[in-house]
Amino acid sequence: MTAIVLKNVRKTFRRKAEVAISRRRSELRDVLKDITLEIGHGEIVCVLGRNGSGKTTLIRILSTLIEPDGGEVHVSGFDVLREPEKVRKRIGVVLNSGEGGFHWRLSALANLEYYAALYRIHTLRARERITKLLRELGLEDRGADQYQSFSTGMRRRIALVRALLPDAPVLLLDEPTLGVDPWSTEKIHDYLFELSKQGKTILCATNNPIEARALGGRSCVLEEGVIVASPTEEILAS
Amino acid sequence: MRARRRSDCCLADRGDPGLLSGKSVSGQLFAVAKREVKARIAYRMTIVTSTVSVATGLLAYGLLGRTSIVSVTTSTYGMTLASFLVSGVAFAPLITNGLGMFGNYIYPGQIEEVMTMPTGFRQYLLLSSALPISISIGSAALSFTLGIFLFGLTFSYNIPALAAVVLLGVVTSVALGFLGVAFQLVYKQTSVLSWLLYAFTGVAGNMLVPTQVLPQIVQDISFLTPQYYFFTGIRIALGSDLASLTSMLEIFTAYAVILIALALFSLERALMFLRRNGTHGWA
Repeated sequence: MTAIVLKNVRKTFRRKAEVAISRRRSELRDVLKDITLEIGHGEIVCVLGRNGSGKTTLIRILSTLIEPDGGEVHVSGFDVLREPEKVRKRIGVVLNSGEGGFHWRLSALANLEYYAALYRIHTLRARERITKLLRELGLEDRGADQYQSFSTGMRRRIALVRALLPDAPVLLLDEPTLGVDPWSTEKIHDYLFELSKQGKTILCATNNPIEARALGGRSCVLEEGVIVASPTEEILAS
Repeated sequence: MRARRRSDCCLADRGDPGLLSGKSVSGQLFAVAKREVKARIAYRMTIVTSTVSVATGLLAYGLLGRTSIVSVTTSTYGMTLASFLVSGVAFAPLITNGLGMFGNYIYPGQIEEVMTMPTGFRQYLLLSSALPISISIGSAALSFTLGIFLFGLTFSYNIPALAAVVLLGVVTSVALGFLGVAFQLVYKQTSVLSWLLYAFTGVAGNMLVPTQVLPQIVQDISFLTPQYYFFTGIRIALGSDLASLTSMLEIFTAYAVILIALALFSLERALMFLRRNGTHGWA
């Protein structure tokens, strides 16, 4: 059984025109057109693409945030439309959106304990897990600091810790190293590679060919809503 | 470059849900409340200003009420105007905060994260608001007690009836909160709804102005507002007009049930709208 299955997936959004300027009926924009992709257990797959190519929409469909207009989407064998609750128990997600719901005036630890509760992780296990993950991602001495004191890259790493909290079998990562320094990025890539060796399935959306190359898994290119091809070694090496 | 590994499509079954141990709701409630307490302590000045606002509100309306010699509230509810106003001000936060009850928990980054987690969205809202609701009830009791001591007010205490009205008020408030969230998720603002609910009900909600002194048309409008049933219920439970208690509780219960059903339906539709359109965010 595959961990992630996308079969002929389509998604269309209405173009959002400024209301005051144009009152005509908004046009449709095909964001994903007939996407088919299968990802096995323990595999890392990078979806490469320019800005606006549909990567984030793909991650948001898989994480049950939005519904596809057509096609089939399964995560860990569960249909994202019919069994979203079961899918949510099996995913860890890093979304590419703003501050990601962390309270600015609370510590990283307090913020992560809160999300552990929403993941229904037992308090004692949550503390152990948070400490372990902060250590593994190089933030062990910053757990007690307020979230507002962290840099962009550190915030991204805390978002990654949150996604890793439930120890879910599938990780959906949208630009997981955006704003992270090269040294920490390398550490994150190594960590994700180790996770995949332990059987975690990782889908990573990125616009950075270097990231795809560093993660070492399978890569595909999303262009205007279509998976056009696997990138050549030249693209990855560029 | 790392060696590419071939996927094994049959490694495991449908995916072990990891560390999710089915933590109890009470455990979740404790953890979420702990965070809420920490977040509130981080804004100590807000606590001070809110407390001062409640105290000055009580003083203003209590003193105003004492200037009245005869009031329609005496014949209707068996209480002085001061008692009427103080009970209105003290219990007001239980119902008037309803629409914005979940406002602090649905900012865009937050809802997207929560909607990818195993805790359902409605459950998340209720967990988050459990502490604020408890604080509102505690603060209402405290303000009411303070008002009694400050102005030497007397009430006839029907505690079971008061508890029932407060409970119905909380249910109504939660329903208003769900409606507010649904409206916010779809229209990205709630000012129209707030205006509809509060512009008229400030007068017609029976909170500060007894509806009996209003024109008939405004009295008719007041029957549509949740505030009317809540504040009338409170005055009946604290006053001497116990004959109408049962019918008032029945009507308020029916109102609360209809409102919560409508609110749940609206929230479900709003979430469907979000999932179709992907418009989770707003600024």
